[in-house]
Amino acid sequence: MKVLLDDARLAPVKAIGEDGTTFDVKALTADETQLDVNGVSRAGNIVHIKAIDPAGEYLGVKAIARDGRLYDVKGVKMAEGARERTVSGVAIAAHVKALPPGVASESAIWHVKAIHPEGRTLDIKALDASGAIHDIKAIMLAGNQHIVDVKAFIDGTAAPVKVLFSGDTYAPVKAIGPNGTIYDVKALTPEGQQLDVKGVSRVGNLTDIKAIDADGELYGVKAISRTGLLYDVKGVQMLETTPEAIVNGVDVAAHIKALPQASAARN
Amino acid sequence: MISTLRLLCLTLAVLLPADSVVAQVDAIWHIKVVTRDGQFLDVKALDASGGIHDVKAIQDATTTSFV
Repeated sequence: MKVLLDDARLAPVKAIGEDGTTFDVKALTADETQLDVNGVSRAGNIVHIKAIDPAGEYLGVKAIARDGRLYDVKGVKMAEGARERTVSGVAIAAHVKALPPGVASESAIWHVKAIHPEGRTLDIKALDASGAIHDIKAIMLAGNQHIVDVKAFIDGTAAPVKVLFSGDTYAPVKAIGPNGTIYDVKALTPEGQQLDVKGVSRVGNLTDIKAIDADGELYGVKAISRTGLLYDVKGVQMLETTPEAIVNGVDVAAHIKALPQASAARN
Repeated sequence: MISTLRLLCLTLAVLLPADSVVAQVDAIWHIKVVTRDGQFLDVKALDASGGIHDVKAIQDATTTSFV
């Protein structure tokens, strides 16, 4: 299922067959009325998907687990432009995913930190070839509480942070400058150590991102608001094929995003 | 035509009478619209002939934050 690319104010949500055939997606009422399901607005990486009732009211679309957990169904974009990619010959504006409800609501800059096992936080920074240190922050945008961009602020630009390819066990996490310059991403200890930040495992669409200490211990990486809200920092893949994207000439394995923490299944 | 839909690659998928979907994933979530009065409405995919197909979210074995 995808949000299709369309000039209309309301973007159609359709299922797409392998041969490019599209299938309408509708909400069905008890009296067999079919309500349109559309992408109705965009906020950063998120396209809000709603069913539209006969009065024109927007109704939320949710995924519901057998144990009662409820996720929001949203269009998800990794590309900045209107067109995300093509699927079976059909131009799409966004993928459709079910995401845990976020907790943030306002535009804000969040810190990105590694969490030491003793409960301390370590700054996560981008380092250039001269050793200069640059901030890495999560950029929370009002209207998008689900998938938050993580950027390195280098020489006045907000550079993307991505998981790259390598033959190593763990995948490197780097910032990519506008001209393709690659910047190391490290967790900095008070003692002056620089810990690698890597993608250590992948399950489904997500890669776990960890800082790795000298003993090989893995530290979680989080985005933390000034008010104490906390999101997980993860690698996110939308495609089954590689590379996930080419950013400023660099092949990318996964995007780095901050995501709401998900609850495990309940009994 | 519709039987060629690739099921497992779609996180939100149209479920057809295929045999292997349930065996290869941990959980299938319902997709519903929530009305103002708290009712749930089914969300379905419709083919050109009016056939109605389930739409479900497929949760991978250990992924909880992105379904």
